[in-house]
Amino acid sequence: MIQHPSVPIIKNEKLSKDLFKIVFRSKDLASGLRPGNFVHIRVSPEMDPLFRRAMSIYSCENDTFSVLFRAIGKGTGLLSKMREGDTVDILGPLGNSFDPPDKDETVILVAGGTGVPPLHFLAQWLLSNYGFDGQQILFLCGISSADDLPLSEAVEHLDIRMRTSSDDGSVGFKGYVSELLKTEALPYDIKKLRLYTCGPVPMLREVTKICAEQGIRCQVSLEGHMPCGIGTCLGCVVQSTRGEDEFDRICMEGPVFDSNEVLI
Amino acid sequence: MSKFDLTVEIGGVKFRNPIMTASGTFGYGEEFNEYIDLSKLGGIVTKSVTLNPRPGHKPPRTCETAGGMLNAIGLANVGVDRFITEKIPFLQTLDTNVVVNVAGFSIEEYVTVIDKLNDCDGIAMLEINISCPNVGADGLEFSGSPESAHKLTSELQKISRFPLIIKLSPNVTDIASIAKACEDAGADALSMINTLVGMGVNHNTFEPLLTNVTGGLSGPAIKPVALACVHKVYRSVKIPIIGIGGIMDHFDVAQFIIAGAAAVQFGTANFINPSCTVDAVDGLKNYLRDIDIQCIKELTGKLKV
Ligand SMILES: Cc1cc2nc3c(=O)[nH]c(=O)nc-3n(C[C@H](O)[C@H](O)[C@H](O)COP(=O)(O)O)c2cc1C
Ligand code: FES
Repeated sequence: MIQHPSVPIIKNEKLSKDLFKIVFRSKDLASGLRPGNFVHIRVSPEMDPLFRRAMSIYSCENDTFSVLFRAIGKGTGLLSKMREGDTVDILGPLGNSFDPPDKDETVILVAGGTGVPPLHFLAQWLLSNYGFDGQQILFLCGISSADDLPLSEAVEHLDIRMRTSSDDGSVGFKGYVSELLKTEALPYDIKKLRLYTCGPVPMLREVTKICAEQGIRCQVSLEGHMPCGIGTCLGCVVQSTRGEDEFDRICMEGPVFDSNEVLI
Repeated sequence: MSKFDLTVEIGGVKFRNPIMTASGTFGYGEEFNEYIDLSKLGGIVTKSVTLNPRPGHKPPRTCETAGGMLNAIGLANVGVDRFITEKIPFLQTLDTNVVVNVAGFSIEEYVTVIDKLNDCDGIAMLEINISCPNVGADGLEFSGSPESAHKLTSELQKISRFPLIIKLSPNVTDIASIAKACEDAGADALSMINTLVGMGVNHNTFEPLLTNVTGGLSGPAIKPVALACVHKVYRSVKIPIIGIGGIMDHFDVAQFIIAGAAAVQFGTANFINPSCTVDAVDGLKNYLRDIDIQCIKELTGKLKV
């Protein structure tokens, strides 16, 4: 059964004025989730908001897993108000996962804003399950300003290499994370490089463009409107590069795609 | 044996209970097989199938609204040939009534699709989605006038080996006159409602929320409209009505049946809770016990007015 009708919240942490981290307890989910997967959370038993909210995974440990999100609308607002002991109905694990890199490759993770969580989970997984050395992983974290510092702090505890950029220059490199990528990727042998990215669409466009130009293998994790999350409504599609009339469901064929498979 | 009788009969076909899934919200049943026991349902209705494969509209295709959603999927489907080779084999393994929903853009298209389905086993009934523009003629939807609905229904009734459910649109002036026209043309049953035309606007970008500009509104927000349609049609026809529109639980099911429906379909609710239909089957039994009625059929049209 991948519907978990009553998953308890064991911690809800306010990281900034609108960023929250919620830890859930579920052995089934925690043992089944892989980097890239998402869960579909019913935030209220009421009719409004109606849809579940799709959330990528920030971290998984033994019998718990956590999500990190921005409370921007009614649904995420409700979720942000939940307390320890509250339970929610969750569908998962849903979607596909990132293809693992080869052992001798360098991995660059490019996250923008709340694109951080799935890449954090991937980094954790590479370290603990694939025996990657922290030096092989470079995390480029783009935030808009110091207000979003908790996003980069959420990665800093990992023993990997990391650079942060901010749009206003208040933290780290001043500019877009895609600019940072251009300089940071330079020293590497392209053939031994793997890139994974998640974040706002304009950023994904820039990052995948750079990868295409340089010939870097890249996977993107996409977000979209997800009414069902389980492949039936056909409402979450992204246009495929197979042709004008070809679409893939983000919730089923994705959310992770090779960057040359989809038109973002 | 449960002492409550949930069975219903529609167009000569026996249904285990009055609960089905609505077209376009349940795929071809495969995805839901993982979540629920499909044999607990009265029936499932498949996504509209058309003569040719249709990729569907460009995204964004859906958005959430207060108590509902808009969709402009664009009848995306694999086309009837692939439907028969790829989807029918799975559907044939199911221990529930399979209703195949058919859409078309000319009478000939509907006819060709039904001709092909006539050769298939494992189909209990066809549901005809008449909310499509007749591009061959005036470009208006078949559901738009009693005449066009009558013509389509009688042509299809002539050739279909399966009983026909005609699915009505609420986007009309008088749904009862369309319903009557379908009944006169030989329809075995009617289902209603399809989605209501709606749209959303982004006030920052000035763009519509759907690439297609307009879409179909569904979910709890449309339930009162659907109930009124069912009741209005119930008073004008004798054939069974399948109620659709914003049904979320067994109380909603009961309300539609009281208003005049013989059975119901769950649409958008499947997206919110994949087990809503099987939960409602259990809920309905408890409800019958509480109101002290043995047989769900007795409830149809029991509205006190
Ligand atoms: C995403 C989506 C796709 C749909 N696709 C079809 C379709 O292909 N054919 C059809 O006859 N109705 C289609 N419908 C309409 C539903 O079958 C149903 O009539 C409508 O959604 C109202 O019921 P609800 O409020 O329970 O969803 C679709 C509805 C939705 C939400
Ligand atoms: S969200 Fe329904 S198909 Fe992907």
